[in-house]
Amino acid sequence: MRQVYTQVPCYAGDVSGAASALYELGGMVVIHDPSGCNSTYNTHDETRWYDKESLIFISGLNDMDAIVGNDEKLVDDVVEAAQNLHPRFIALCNSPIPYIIGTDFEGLSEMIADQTGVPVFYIPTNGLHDYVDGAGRAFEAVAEMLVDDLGEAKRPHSVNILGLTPLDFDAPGSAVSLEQKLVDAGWQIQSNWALDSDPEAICGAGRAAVNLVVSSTGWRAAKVLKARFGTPAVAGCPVGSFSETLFDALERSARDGRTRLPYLDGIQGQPSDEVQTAVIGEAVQAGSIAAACAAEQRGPVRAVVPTECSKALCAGQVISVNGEAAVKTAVGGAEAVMADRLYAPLVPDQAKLIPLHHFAFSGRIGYDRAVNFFDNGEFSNLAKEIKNGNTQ
Amino acid sequence: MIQLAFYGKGGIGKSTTVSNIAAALAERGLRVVQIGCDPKADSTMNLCHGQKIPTVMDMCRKVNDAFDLEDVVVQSESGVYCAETGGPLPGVGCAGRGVITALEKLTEKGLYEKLAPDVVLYDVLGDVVCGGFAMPMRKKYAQSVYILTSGEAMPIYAAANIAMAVDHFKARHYARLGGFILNRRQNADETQRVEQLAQDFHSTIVGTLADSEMVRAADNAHRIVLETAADSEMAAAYRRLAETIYARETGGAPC
Repeated sequence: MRQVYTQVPCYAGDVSGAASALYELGGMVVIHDPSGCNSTYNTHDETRWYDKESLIFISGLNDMDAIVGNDEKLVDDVVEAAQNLHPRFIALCNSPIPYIIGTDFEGLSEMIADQTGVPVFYIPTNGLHDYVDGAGRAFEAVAEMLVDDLGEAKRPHSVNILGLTPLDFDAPGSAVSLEQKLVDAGWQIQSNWALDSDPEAICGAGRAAVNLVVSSTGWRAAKVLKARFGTPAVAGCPVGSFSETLFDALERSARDGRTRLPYLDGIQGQPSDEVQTAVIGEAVQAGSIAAACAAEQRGPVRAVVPTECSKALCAGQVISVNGEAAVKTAVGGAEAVMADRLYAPLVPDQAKLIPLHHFAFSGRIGYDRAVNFFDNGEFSNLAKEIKNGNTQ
Repeated sequence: MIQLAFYGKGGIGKSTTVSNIAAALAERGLRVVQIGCDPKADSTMNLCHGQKIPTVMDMCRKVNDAFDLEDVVVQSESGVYCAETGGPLPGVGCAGRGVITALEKLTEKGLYEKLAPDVVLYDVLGDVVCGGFAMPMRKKYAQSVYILTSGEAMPIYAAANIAMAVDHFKARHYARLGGFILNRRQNADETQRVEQLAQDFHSTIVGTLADSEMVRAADNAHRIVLETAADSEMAAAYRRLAETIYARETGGAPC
């Protein structure tokens, strides 16, 4: 059957993505949804929930409020909470019930902004998309609403990291390792969107010379920042042998203002009908790992992308797939498949599964074995596993 | 670009009036779009001489999102670009949600950029029965709402309900009330009754249309009066109404 999942789970939903993107930014996120759903969006899908406070609320929508259109109750509750908690901003997220009845969140945002004086924006989630879409739309709204129009000159050799959430980068220390790699390569970190992040730095994101998009969730924001400040973007993760290629692309984009996707170039020209190593995951991350593998081995490499993403981020051997049958076809014939352990039922019998935990896919199952692949040592071990077939 | 929504009790003559206003504005060289927001999809039928055009919801039902703007927009002989939201089959689905989806689809398909209209007219089903039918008055759509009514009790009751909805939605920065259009039915005191209604909402009657056999004849022939009796007093009345509304919305600019 096409476009179905019966053996593996689906990815975290769009609301979880939006909540994760905004978790550290000092705002109040209100999801208009029945009570109880916060467990899904946060306790299940959020690694930071037990360690770091964040103002994330469920409105407690009930059937009668939906039927009679009692929107004022939501407005009153949000206004009261905002007056008590003084958030930097308020983000309203949609969910299946208000989406289907067509609740006008943009109009409600205007009402709340008028009554609180706090910036309010709407994240058009609806529970029908995956976390990439929700986080992407949330970061897009941040780029439109929270980044100051400073009119100051660019800071040379400074970079914004876009699309960094624990749904994709779940191993503790990932953000620190990534930032350190960039600093070691001569870059100053302007802002990080948004893991172990400073909200004030995000307000000044327009000053960065270049944006580094480390996952598809940062792509929409990159386009807004390009339109607002002319900042070019480079998509990719500095992993293994691909790191130097990526840093070189950052340098060139900062100079010429062009947007680049070097991971696509890294596995360009691979034969389309055969594959030795396949990486299953989010497009930019999986594509970057595949590019690193391509640089270190001779056989053909492919990235298989079951998550939603812009068409621009998937091309050539970075293949967008929908449904288990398509995943199986895309990894068919591979000798090694790097993917979350829960993909095991779809891995060909002859292939070795190299586990790469993905929080947006398997949550806390196997979380203790999450890999910080920005750490050169940990990524090197992964590369060795591929080479040696060690699947412990 | 100005965007206007027309509301009023079912059967009061909204589609007939809006179609003639659209054609009158198109006569002046303006690029005009008329969007019917009713599952019956009959707003633009007279502009299209009885031809039913494919609705947005028809296309969604058949091919989901795989259609282009050109598949759901038809230009009438009078030069008006016509579209119909359509809706679910009678008795199933959600008509209001259909209007929301259809207007979002028209936006996604580039109606406002590709056609670059000077004027967009939304002809909306009888009353603001749910959130979907308030969609045309939301912030990104109409800037003003015009309400058609006769002087009879029920049309006035419906018109007052719509005007109250417009007032209620002010806090959401929706469209303002542009005014009332009196469609005469030869009832005693009808002008005074509608004047009182307008006064109650601190508004005004922006135009009055006579009860005309010529209009009914044009309707029966699936034509508009501007085509069947272009030089008549009735056609002139539609032109005057179009000019008045255009001037009000543009701060006095002649069309």
